[in-house]
Formats: sequence, structure tokens, C-alpha cells
Amino acid sequence: DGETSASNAEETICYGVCRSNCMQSCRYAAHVVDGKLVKLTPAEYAEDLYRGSCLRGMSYMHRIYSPHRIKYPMRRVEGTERGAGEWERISWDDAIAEIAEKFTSISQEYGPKSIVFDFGTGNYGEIQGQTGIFNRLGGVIGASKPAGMNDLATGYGIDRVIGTGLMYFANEAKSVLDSSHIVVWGSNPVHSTPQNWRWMQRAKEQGTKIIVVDPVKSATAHKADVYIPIKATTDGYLALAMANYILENDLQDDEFIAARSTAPLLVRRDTGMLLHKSDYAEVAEGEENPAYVWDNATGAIALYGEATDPALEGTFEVDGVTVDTSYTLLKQQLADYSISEAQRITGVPEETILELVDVFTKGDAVSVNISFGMDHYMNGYQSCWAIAILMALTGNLGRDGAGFTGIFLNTALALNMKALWAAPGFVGMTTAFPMTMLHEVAETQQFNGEDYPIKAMVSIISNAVSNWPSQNNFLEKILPALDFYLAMDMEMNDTVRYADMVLPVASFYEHEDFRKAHNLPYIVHQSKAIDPLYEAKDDVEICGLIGRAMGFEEAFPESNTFETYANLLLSSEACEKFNITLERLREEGYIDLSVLPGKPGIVGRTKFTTESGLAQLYTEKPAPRVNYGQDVKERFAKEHLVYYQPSAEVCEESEAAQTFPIVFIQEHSRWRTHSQWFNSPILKELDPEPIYKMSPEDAQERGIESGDIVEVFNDRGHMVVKCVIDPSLPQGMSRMPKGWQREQFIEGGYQELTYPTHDEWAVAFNFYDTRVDVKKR
Amino acid sequence: KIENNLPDVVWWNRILTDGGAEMDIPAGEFPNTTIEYVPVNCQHCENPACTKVCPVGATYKDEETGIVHQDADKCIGCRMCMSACPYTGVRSFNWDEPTHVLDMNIGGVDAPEHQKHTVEKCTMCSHRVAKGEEPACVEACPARARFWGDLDDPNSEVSQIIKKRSFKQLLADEGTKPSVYYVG
Amino acid sequence: MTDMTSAAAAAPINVSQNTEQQGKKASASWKSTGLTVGIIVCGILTIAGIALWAMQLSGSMIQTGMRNLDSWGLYITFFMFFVGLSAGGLIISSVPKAFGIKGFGGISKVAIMSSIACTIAAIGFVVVDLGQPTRIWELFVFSNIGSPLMWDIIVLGTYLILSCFYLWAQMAHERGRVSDKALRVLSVIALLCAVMVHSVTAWIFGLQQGREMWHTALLGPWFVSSALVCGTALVICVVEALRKVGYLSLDQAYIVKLAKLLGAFVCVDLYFFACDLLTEGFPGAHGADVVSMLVSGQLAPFFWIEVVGCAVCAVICFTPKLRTNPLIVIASLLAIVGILCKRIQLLVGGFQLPNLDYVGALSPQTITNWEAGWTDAYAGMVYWPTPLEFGVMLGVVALAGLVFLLGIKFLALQPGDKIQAESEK
Repeated sequence: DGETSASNAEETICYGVCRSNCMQSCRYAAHVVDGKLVKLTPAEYAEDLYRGSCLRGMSYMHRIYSPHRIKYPMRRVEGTERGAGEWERISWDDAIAEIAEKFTSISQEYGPKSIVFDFGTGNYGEIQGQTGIFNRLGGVIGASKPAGMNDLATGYGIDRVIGTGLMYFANEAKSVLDSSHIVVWGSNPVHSTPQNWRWMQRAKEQGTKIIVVDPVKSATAHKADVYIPIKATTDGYLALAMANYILENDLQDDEFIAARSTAPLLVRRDTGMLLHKSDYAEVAEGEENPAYVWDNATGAIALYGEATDPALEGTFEVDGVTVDTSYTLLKQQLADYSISEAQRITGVPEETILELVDVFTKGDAVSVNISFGMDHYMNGYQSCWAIAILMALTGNLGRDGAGFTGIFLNTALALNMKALWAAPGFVGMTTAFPMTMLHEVAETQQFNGEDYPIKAMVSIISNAVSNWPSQNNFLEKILPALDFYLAMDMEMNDTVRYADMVLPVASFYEHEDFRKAHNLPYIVHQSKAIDPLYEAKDDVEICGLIGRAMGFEEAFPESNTFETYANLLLSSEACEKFNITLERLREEGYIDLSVLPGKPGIVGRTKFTTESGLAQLYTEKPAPRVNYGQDVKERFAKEHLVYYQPSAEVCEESEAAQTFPIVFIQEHSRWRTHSQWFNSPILKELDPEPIYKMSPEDAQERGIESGDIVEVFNDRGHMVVKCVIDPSLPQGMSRMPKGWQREQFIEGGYQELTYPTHDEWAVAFNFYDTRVDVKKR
Repeated sequence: KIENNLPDVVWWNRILTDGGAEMDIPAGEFPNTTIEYVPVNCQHCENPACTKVCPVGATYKDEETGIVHQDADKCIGCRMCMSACPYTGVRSFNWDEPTHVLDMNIGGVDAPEHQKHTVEKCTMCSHRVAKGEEPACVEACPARARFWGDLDDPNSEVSQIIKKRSFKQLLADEGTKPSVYYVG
Repeated sequence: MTDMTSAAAAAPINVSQNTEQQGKKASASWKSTGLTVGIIVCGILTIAGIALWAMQLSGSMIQTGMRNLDSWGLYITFFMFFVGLSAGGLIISSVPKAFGIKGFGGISKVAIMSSIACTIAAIGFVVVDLGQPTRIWELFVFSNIGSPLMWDIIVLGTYLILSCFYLWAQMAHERGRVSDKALRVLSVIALLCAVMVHSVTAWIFGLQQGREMWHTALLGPWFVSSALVCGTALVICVVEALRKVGYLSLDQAYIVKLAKLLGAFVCVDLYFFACDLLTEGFPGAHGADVVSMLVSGQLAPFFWIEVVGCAVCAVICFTPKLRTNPLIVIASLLAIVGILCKRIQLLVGGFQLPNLDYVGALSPQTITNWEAGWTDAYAGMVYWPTPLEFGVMLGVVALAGLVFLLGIKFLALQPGDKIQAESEK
């Protein structure tokens, strides 16, 4: 009874941080009794609203102790098909010997590039995670690492304006307390980032208005003050039409445009480049090379910053070259985007659009919460770019309460990745092509017309089979090309099922690590709460074993431990500045990295991270996100100025739209993070099976009722699942909470439906740009 | 559920959806749909219907804390309390031998035990409250939507909140005077 | 309807045996064979029921159809029903004595015996419904006097003891050891106790503020009236059976009187029902849901069987031309079936309308048809018993039969002048 258990049970508490890819970083207290992790409770942060937890994080021990946990190294039984589920237990010694033998022989025969390292997002620990120790192994082997393509179009689009790279565009979540309006654009923080939603909720309580723009009436839309339904993928058009209306009606923020944007910078008509100092004078490598503006005071050009009255608009002749200001070019570019056309394309009524214009022009400080909803379409980066332009023209950037929120990553603390990755003997991994092209390269064993053998692959904290689009490509093109496929995981997910060998890995709480937090201004420590269960090992140990077995003694000497690597990673200037050491992390649990203590991190508070430090209305040197040999020239001229491009499949004019009337998106629910927690028994009590949600109109047309089994299909694949009718979807939209594995479907799987191509410039996965049709089974 | 080591498929605190015909599904027509979430656990009524009807006093109200307790060792399994309680489903009978998917106890070390064929329900985490902690659901709520405290103390956070904000009580006309307030 | 046949079967057999003894016409072999067969059958069914009950306890009650949102079922339905039936015997036997009416004396003790058997069945149904029957002692140690269930247990216990004492007293009276006056006083007390039993049983439901359908002050009187209906109907069936075999000569006037009585009771019962429906439905709030659930919803079959059955019963009872013996029996059976239907409506109806009209996740413990989803779980009847429950129910009914038959076999239940002979045996 209670008394005896209390006296027997000695509870110890240590602290850790959840590290799945939900883009949040809740800190947990791990309660350990008799060597077992019995409870996870939200642990404190300096800022109380950052303390938090969710169903997944709190129930993590159900994954640790899950009856489905992979317990020991296993090999596919010789002679059985991949995916047949026949496994034999092998010892770690045998497993490592076989891996080393395969990698070495394949590397010798086909070259190291024929081994593919696939990094997933299952663990954001700095040492044991995605960017951790396995990069050191891949680096000394010289393996291939296809360019990652997840969630990168948003940042790529916004980067065009504020130069924040792929992941650093957002202000700290707390910043919304200073916002007069929060426009949640194509994201659903109530379910997917509750850590951020808490701040929005707090802001709302203080009077901030929340407006949601989304094709689906999401949980967030139900909590918002205003919900604006929009046709999927047309967000960019809406933003550009609003921008044009704002300019035409002189509603823009002139002060911001003059002081903080590239509006006055002159663009040469002949080359499309800015008129730079280097056009007239020798500029040494590394020296600043400012652009010219037109000085109305003198009627001549002057270097930016040196003019007394720089012209924001106008076209001028300079030494026989016609130049326009960036602003003028943008204005001309936007002139075609009208409100009435926006109404037709986006489905948003004119008066609603004008109300939204009011928000951006009259609101004191507007923040736009943006994640990866728009990102997941072919035109995702253009949509986000357009919104960034809208924000720039209305001066809603780079100040308190204004800017983007969503995925706040700390720029202040750079870790010494090089020290961790570049071991003695480092040759580096080859990133020649993006993930979506792996199936082509594997099938043809060629890349850009040259031999490129692909013979082995290892998935590291990655469930690629489940999470890469066009699942059938993986199963039918990549897998058959491989002589050896190694997976490392905790549970039998889709990827592990199709592997040749699987290694059991330690969970978040079975090893030590630390994490530069997503969405928080902290770096957080994970202490090892319990020993790895069964025969599981952590990445540091596995890497060392494989590395040494392959002969990379120098890179992975036996004396190297977690501490060795941690100290390498923390040996950066920034770490020194912030006084970040492993000891301090262990002692304090987390360390605050706020630049201005007490003030939320704001992107571009003083200047933006563009070359000029200004918000770019004109992109001088657009570059594709990944250069894999595609024809960059073709679109180069078009990429200087923001524009709207219909999405490939979802847009109503597409070819697919004629055959497949229903858009299908993979909803991020509160039950799973991508495919993590797919088999959590405690969560499955509440959310037991895959559910396909469709609109009442679409269901009625097809004679489908809630609870019916339906087949969802397109020309790439299909799935057979239970259907629920969901009035939060407009006609023509459907969705399914993602994360389910193939064996959990009646037939097929949702990832069969997505397409395997990408925009040549954004080079990102387009999971949502998918059309399907549905029939009753 | 974790804190109290609840058996499989037993829930003390159910999050119900006031909307469409299924969980998480709103009512109405796009885009004018509505949905509201109603977490329903034992309301720890000031005038509980359950305690009056229990023939053996296995369910009783702690006058000091106001918590309505359920003594699993005493419960004879007659389910009078389940019939009496207007907030159907907050009381849960262990129709089956309690099982746990994990082969170990989880949650608080002093979490209650679970017995077959007895009624159980939300204890307001009395074992935590006794240690001066908040109930687990309050601590864990990702949206910070739950508040907990002493309604008899006019200066407590909860008293202040219901003073300032509009609220409703579930089935207030049943006269049970529930101690759970749903603030708007 | 298995229950009805067995319940009905138990009574006539016993009574006819009793009649044999009365008439001294029956052969000894019929008596012993029939009785023994009856006892053996009931014994086997009882043992089977106990075995199933053991299965329910050692396995678990997940094998029943009951769940958190419909937490009572067949057992409690039959508990109500048998409390009602138990009335028949005692009232029919005590009313004449209490008010000095003549006529039913011949079957008085048998009637009390049936009353005892039905009371035991009623208690049995409560016991098999308990999750922890081994803790039943707590009822006496930790009694919460405020609980209607506690009242019922006290009253039912008293009722059982009183019935036994009353039976003894009648037998003793026949031996001349108890005075007429004492018996009459006892009869009044027994009658009052019978009324109490029904009221208290009603309060088990009626005082549950959580259920729209149950929470009505009318429930007490209504239970009494229902008990009178099915009690009288049972007695009519018994008496008609006795007459049919020719072992009992009862003036047709008594039957007509009983039939009129039944008609009156049925009308009162229907009147109460109408009052209740009107009160529920008139404000148009939640009560209206109750009315529509009964009249046109999931419980409509039971509702209409009851209403039509009882109405037909009343018509037969009040129309002199129709008061032929077969029709009167049919009328009585209709009344009994009608009251059973009413018990079902009452019990299931209490759970059929969820108090909180919200949906949520479902588990195997939530509701009987949990896999069907929220809407469909309530689309039909929210609760339906499993075979195990029917089996246990049969066992409890058989136990009542067994008690009754053993009473016939070992107690002197025939009319007074035969006592001597029987006791010499």
C-alpha cells in the first residue's frame, strides 16, 4: 500500500530536455525510482511561460519502456525479403564487424561516396543528435550526405528580404507580448508549438488581436479573434496584392522604407546588379563595397549613407547606364497584383483583404507567426518572400513586437561544429544532390551524367521511409540499389522494417547531452537519468565502435567519451564569451543566452543580416538553396524581385487539379512529432488509428460518412483508412494527422501520395502540394 | 494519468469536445465552425451527490481541503455514486483487472493503488496537494489554462480569477455546487 | 423474456402442487416427482448461475455489458422487477387480513412464500451486481445511514425477516398459538413494510439527482402502484392456474374483483406515467428529451409495449364482456410484461441521455458500444446485457424458484386443516 511503497521507493530527480523535432525544447524533471524513469514533469526555466510540456514529452517513458522497443542488434534473416519482418538477434561484436566490413568493402570497390549517411530529426542533442557525432564518422569516411530538404523554404523565402539564412528568421516567442496584432499565417501553434501559443494567449489576454490566415479552420483559428479562410497556396498572391494596394494608396511606412530598406539602392538595367562602389573603384577582397543611391540634393549618385537626400524612387542615367531605384522596380513589379484579382485567386473577399491591410498598416506592431505550412508547397518560398516584403513595406520588422515568430533559433551562440566534425583524417561528406534526387541517382547509379554508385545507406535518427515524399520511390528505387541498409532506432518504424540491420539506440534519457534550444533563449543540459535499456547504446559509443572497426583509430580513440566531444563542441569564442562549459551546464541545468537581458530576441533589431544591413526590396544575387548542377541562369533574372507563382499541383489550374479534386495535407497533431510516438501505447488510447479527415461536401458527393473506410489515391499511390467528416475543412481540402506507419494502415500509407520533385531554387520537400481523390471502400 | 499510474484505458480527466459528433471535430459549417474543449474530471462538489448515496462511506468529502475522496479499500463496487454523479464519466469503475502497459509503476511514488471492481476517480492529486504541490494536470497544462487553489481564500489566485472573469460551472442547476469553474 | 417464463413457471407449478395437497386428490408420485424435478432443475440453474457469477468475479465485470457511462444493467433492472413481484404475495395475503376481507385465505401462505422467494431474488440481484461482494460486511460496520441503498438494504432485510415471521405467524395462528388480533396487527405492519420497500427502492433511483429520468418525486408512489399491478397480476395468474387444474374452487366473483382491482391499479400506474411524462415534457427542456426517447426514441418498443399492454389490460378488466378467464390471464400477463418493460425503460433511460452533451475519446471502459463511436453508441440502446448477465440472472431467478420449492417441500403451506397431517410426515 501507499506507506510501504513510499518507504521503499527512493525518488531521485535529474533534469533533461525533450529533443524531438517539434521545434520546442521543454525541460523536464526526470523522476527515477529503483533505476527506472517513472515520471517526467515540466521543469522550470527562468521565464515561467517557457516551462512546459505536452502529451508526447510527458509520456516519453512509454517509449523508453515500450514493449515495442528494439532491444538488441538484429539482422534481417538471410534469404528473406526486406520488410518481411524476419529478424535474428546478433551480438554487438558481430554487428559492428559486419558494418565495418560492408562499409569498408563497398567504399573500396565503389568509393566512399557510395555510402549514404541519412540524418533525420529524431534527436536534437548537439552530440548524440542530428548534427552530432555521426557527422564525424561520415566525415572521416567521406560518405555522401544528400542535402536536407525539410522545412527550408520558409527561411529561404524570408532570407531574400532580411538575410537570415534558412532558420534564423524568427523573433523570440516572448516578443508577441509587444505586438498589437499577431497574424498566424498558415501555422497551427495551438497543436504544433504550444510553447509559442502560450505567449500568444498571454498577449491576447492583454488585448493583442490574433488573426489566422489558413485554408483550414485550425485549432488556432478557433481560438483567434479573426479567421480568414484562403485557398491553399495562394498566400503569396494575397500578400503581394496587399503590398500593391498599400503602395498605391500611400499607406506604407515611409520612414522604415527610407531608413531600413534597400529602397534607394540603384539597380543597373544592363546587368540587373546594384550599382556598387566597385563599379567605379578598386575594392579589395574583404573591403566593404557599398551600393550607390541617387542624391536629389546633388542630382548625382552617391554611396549609400553619403547622400543628403537619397531618392527612393526614380529612374536615372548614370554614365550611359540606366538605373532604377530598388523601390521603383518593386513598385513596378507589384503593379500587376490587384485586390480584385486577389479576391478571385485567393477566395478572400475584398473587404476582408482591406481589413487585413488595416492590420498591417494601422497596427502598432504586427508579428506574423509562420512555420512550415506554406513551406510545404512548391511555391512556398515565394509565399514567404511575399509576406516578408509586405512586412518590410509596412515597417513591421526588426523592432519590439514586429517581425516573424515561429522558429526562434539563437544566433548568439555558435558552437564549434568544426572541432566536433573534423576529426583527424577528415575528408568531409559529399553533398552533391538533395534528398529528393536520391532515388534517381540510386536507380541509375548516375548523377548529372556521370557514374555515382549508391551501394550502402545508414539512417541515423531518421525515419526516411516514412518521412520522405513519394514513399514508393524509396521502396522501389532506393532500396533495391542498396547492398546494405543500416538503421538505428528505438522502435520498429517504417525505415527499420526495411533495413538489413538495426542497432538499438539509447533514448533521450539514457545518455548525457545538451541542446541549444529551439524557440528558447537557452542552452539546456540533459543528464543521463537511467542506463540504456537492454543492449541499447548511445551514438557516441556506436560511432566509436564503427569508427575503430573501420580503422579510424585516430578519429575515435577509445579514450574519447561524451565529455571529450562536448568539450570540443563548446570550445568556441562565443562559448567563452557566454562562459558556457560542460561543468556549468551540468551544474545549472540551463544557461540563458539572451543578448539583451530581459528583452526578447528580435531579428534585425539594429540591422539585418543582409550584405547592406537593410531589408532587401530587390535581391541582387539570388542563389538556389542547393546547387546540384541545375540550370540557374534560366530563372536568375526573375529571382531579383518578388513574384507569385502558382503551386505545382494544388493550384486550381494545375493538370492534377483536373483529375484529383481534393487537396491532401499532413496535419501536425498533438499526438506525434513527425513519426515519433507513432506507437506510444498511452497516446494510442486517445488517438488509436490513422484517420483521414474530409470536408462534408466532398464526403457527401461520394456517399461517405464518418467511420467509413475509404481509399485515398492519386497516380503515385494510395492508402486505405478510416474517414471522419470534418467541417473545419472547406470543400476540396482534406487532411490526416501525420506520423502513422505503414503497418498501421489498412493498406498503403499517406506518404505514397506525395510527389518526389522540388522547386529548383528552394530545393525543399513539398509534402502538402498533393492532390488526391477518395472513394468508399 | 501518468502521475496517478492509472491503469490502461482508465481516465480520470477526460477532455471532451463541445462541437461536432466526434472528438476534436467542430460543429457548424465552414468557416463558421465552433469548438470548445471541456476538461471534465471530478468536480469536487461542495454538495456532492456521490457521498450521500455511498452505503459504506467509501466516498467522502474532506472538510478541510474540500477534496472528495474515494477509498478503494472500502468500496464495495455498488456504483451508487456513479449513478448519482451528474458529471457522468468522471467516476470510473475498474470493470477489468487493472493492467498497465508498462511492466512497472509510473507516476508519483505515492500514487494511489488501483483495484479491480472498485470505483475510482480524480483525487485532485491529493498526494501531491498534501506535499504542497499543484495537481499534475495544472502543472502540465501546455496552454496554462488550468488554475488551482483555495476558493475559500478570497485572495487566492483562483478566487481572484473567478472574481474578475466570467465563468460557468458544469450543470450548475443540479445543485451540486461544483468546485470546478470554467472561466471565459 | 426468458426471465418471464421462468418466473411465471416457478409460481404456477408450486401452486398447483399446493392445490393437490389441498384437494388430497393428487397421487403421491406426482407430487414427489414433480417437486423433485423442479428442485433439481432450479438447483442446477442456481449452481450454473453461481458458476457464472464466480466467472464474473474472478474474470471481471468487463464481461458484462455495463460500463462507466451505463453503470447499471440487467441485474438492477431485475432487482427492481423482483422487488415489485415480491409485493404481490404479501399484499394479497395481508390486505384481506388487515382489512378483514375474506377470500384468498387458501393461498395466503403460498403467496407469502413466493414473496420471500422474490425478496431473496431481489437481494441476490444486488449482490451479483456488486464489484466486491466480499466486502458486504462493511454495510453493517460502516453503514452510511444517509444512503438510499442503505435504507433499501435495511428495509429489504426487514421485509424478508418480516415475511418469514409472518409466514410463521400464519402457521402458528392456524395452530392457534397466535391470536387473530395479533395476526391482523402483523398484517398491517407487513403491508406498511411492503409499501416502504417499494418507495425506498424507488428512492434509490429517484434521489439520484444526476439522472433526468429518475429524479422525480413521483417515483415512490409510482413504484408502489407498479408493484400493485404486477403483484395483483401475478396472483391472478396463480389463482387462475389453480382453478384450471381444478384443485381450487374460487368464486368467479373474487376473480372479477381481482380483475377490477388490477384494472384500477393499471389505470393509476398509467396515470402516474402520464403525469410524469407531462411534467418532464411540458417545460420543453431536457425533460422533453426523455419524453421523445420513450415515445419515439430508442426505448419506444418498451414504452409502447407497456402502454398498449396496460391499456389493453385495463380494457379487459373493465369490460364485463371481456372478463373471461383466458382474457383475464392474458391481461395479467400483459400487465406483468408491461411493468418489466417499464423497469427496462427506467434503468436504461437513466443512462441513455448523457448529462454532458460533449464527445470525447472512448475506451473499452467508457460505454457498451465504445467501438461504434460516440454517435452510434447512443444511436440504439446504450446498454444491452451480455449472455453472462442473462446466465447469472437466470441463476438468481432459479434461486428464488429453489427457495420456493424447498418451502413447498419442507414447510406446511397448505390450508390450516391439513397441518396436522403434514407435520406428522
